[in-house]
Amino acid sequence: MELVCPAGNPIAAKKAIENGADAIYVGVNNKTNARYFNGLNFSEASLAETAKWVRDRHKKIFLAVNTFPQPDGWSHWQRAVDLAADLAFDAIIVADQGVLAYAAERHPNLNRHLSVQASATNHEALDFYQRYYGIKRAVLPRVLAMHQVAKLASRTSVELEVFGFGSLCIMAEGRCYLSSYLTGDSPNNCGACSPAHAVRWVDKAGSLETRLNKVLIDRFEPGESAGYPTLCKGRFRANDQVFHVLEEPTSLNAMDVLPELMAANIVALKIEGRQRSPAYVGKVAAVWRAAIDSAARNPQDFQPLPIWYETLASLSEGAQTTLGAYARPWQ
Amino acid sequence: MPSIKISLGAIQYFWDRNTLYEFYEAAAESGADIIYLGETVCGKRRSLSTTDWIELGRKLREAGKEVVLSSLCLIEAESELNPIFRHCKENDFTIEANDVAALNVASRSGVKCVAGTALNIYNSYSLSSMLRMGVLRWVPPVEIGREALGKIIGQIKGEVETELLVYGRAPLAYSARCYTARLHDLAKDQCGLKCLDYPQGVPVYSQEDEALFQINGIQTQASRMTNLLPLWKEIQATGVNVLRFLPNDIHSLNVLNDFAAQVRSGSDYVPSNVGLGVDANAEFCNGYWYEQEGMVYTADSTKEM
Repeated sequence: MELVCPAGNPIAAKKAIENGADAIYVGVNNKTNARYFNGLNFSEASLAETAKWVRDRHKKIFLAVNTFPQPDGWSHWQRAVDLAADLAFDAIIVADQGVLAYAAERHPNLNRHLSVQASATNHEALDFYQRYYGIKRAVLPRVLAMHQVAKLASRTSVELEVFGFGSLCIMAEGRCYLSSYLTGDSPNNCGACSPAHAVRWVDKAGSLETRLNKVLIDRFEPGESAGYPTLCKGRFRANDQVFHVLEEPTSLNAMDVLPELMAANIVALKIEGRQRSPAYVGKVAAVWRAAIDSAARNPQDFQPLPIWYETLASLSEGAQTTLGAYARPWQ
Repeated sequence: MPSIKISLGAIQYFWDRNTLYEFYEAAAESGADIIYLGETVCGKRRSLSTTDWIELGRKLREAGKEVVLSSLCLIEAESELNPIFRHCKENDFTIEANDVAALNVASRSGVKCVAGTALNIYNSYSLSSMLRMGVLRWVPPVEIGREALGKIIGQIKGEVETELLVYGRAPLAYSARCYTARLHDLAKDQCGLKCLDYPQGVPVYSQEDEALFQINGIQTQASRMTNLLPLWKEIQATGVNVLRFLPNDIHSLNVLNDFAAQVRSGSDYVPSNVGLGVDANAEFCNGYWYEQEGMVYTADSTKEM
């Protein structure tokens, strides 16, 4: 199983590889990818350098071109795809059918991975992208249960990659417009959810309010740890209860199902977080390298080490981790 | 300019059998040209069976309506594909594909499709690529604004019809998880079909009592209703062919009929005093059309003068 790690800059890329990543995924510093944040991502020159550095170490590098082009900006997406081909990237990660069609026609030898943003959750959807766009691999949305992942893997010849660790989208990826409803910007239209420019932290007599474009997302009393106002993780009121109406601020950790994912022939495990620091990426990569090696050596008796959980929990949003949809405690 | 058509999108909520039949009896007599039928949100909602929907579709067709059968938006279990296999086998109606799985099955069977709003068509390259799959009409993503839409339609040069949501609550997200069940501390598999108790969904407010969303099973909707009715001439000039209503209850048909009558006389739309039902208390929004955050409402500038 391939360990695929995020890299928001060249230092994170090195940290990921040095700590055991088999592949990294990166983005160009514009709207063409789903982590379009200030100070993040790669210029064309740094992309070329990093690609060479990674290849010299016989590891893989993927380019995320996984947002949906707006009618005005098509040339940016085209350029990103061309760049991946020119720099001999191992794959591009794409969600939009126009971009897929362009890549398939123009650069047929450049591997195409279907982005999680395309939200392919069933074998007919995978067959669709394979038939029409020749995808080699698909990244599965974080909405499927373990048994559904296994069933899907048994029915498709598309390679499957799943999320192992990181922030948890609770909505079907690519089909969530909550962020643009409040702020105008969304992952699909500009590569950002709950964008930083719309966020306000307001201290109100000791309690801390988080706002997204003026809308109150949450209110934290002194001593409560305050999270980033990702709007699906806010506390709202429904039926006269104030609570996390959509989801608690937890992170995904699929460690417990690692042997099952391997048994299901999942070819790659993905770590979320191109927006994270190089130190974070390095620590997470090291834990998952050890875990994957251990599970591969002895899948029957795979026992995650307590220190792995502790390390991952200390790095997680809200310090809480969950198996999320894989286990579906809410099913 | 060809005359603009009016459609009634599939009901997003869970209504009981009688309410559905009552609604569609009225819809058969309504000003809608096109009616979309079927369950799009949750496979557990079975007030009508696939056979019932097909029979209803045939009746509505006899009443002179164009009928389209809509697929689920999020397909996880194999069984959730069954209605699509059935529709494609019978090949009697156009399909609205709300997941590419439905588009895949339909294109393999040679059945024509409407590409639903959740298919995320944001540019003409993507739309062009889908024409070979038998797509006759497309519904843009909810967050696309007038400039982007105008460009896409301009680039596609009339090869496919465009249908835009002009009235009703926009769907904003789909999850594996059921929020109505979560609200009641119920497991999804033992939800007791709670959605039946909320025929317009459950309103979600901020802690400052600002209405934000509407929970509807696995779907999260905008709290404010999209209302682009006063803009219909501008929308038509953009190249849109079909105007979609998403009903909240049977009274939404009164709004549709009032609107249809005015559109057909070619006049600017002025809301009449029709029975509004649950829509009477609705807050409106049109931000997406103006390329802004979706929840805002900008009064029509031509009306202010």
